[in-house]
Amino acid sequence: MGFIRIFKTGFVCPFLYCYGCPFAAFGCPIGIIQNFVTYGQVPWFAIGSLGVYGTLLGRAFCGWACPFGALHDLLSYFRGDKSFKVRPFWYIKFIMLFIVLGAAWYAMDTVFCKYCPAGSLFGAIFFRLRYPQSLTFNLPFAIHMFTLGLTIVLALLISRFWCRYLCPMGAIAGAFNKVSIVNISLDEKKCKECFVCLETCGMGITKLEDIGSSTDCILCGRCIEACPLKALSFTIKK
Amino acid sequence: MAFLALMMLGVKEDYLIVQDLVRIVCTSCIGL
Repeated sequence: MGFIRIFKTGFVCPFLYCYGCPFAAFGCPIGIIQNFVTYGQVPWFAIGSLGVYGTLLGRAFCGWACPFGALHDLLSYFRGDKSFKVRPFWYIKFIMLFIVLGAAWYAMDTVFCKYCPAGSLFGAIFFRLRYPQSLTFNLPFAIHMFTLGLTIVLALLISRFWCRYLCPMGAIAGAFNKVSIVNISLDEKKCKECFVCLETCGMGITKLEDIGSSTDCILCGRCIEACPLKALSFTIKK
Repeated sequence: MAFLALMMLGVKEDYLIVQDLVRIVCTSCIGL
């Protein structure tokens, strides 16, 4: 939408994105927060927006709207069912978020954006496609291509690798999963503990009680589709 | 409601700052 200047709004989108994209209509939350850190200002609007998104839908945007998550889902078609089973380390993305904010504060620059694989794809590549005259191959672009390439390789080996372990936006949104209005609930009376739901989970959730509430759950609903007894369902808290 | 209040608190100034960030491409961020 942002190909027309009036559509370039000041809203903060609820997923990882790059407003370096020539068609960007919203701000990337991580980029915006980093910029405010460098200005020495508290990003009230971004915090409030992310709080509203999170309270309403938890991490559902990661599963339903994130374009970088969509790339991971696309890569999963090539991988098939051969994903490596790896332990969930939910806290790594919180460490990543801390490093991202710390680096912005220390360097007074949007350091993460220089390495962000989502920025590589939606910013660096799309910008060059839109403006071919800017087609240069320098070290910063090479770094972007390296991080994107590495993320794609890891996503081909491990389902939703970036979303599981490294996405700082996933850390923010995931923190709201326990309190979000829209969520997934398990009917314990119907459940026979066949664990088909956990086997189909792209985020590698390993416990039934973590479905819907873990910071890793992206509320994509694959578990709901897979459950043969219909024990899982989307719920709206009142 | 608290987050909505925070959002409204910052919307007046922050919205325009964010809009500027979206409109002006950070060239170093996309490796130019």
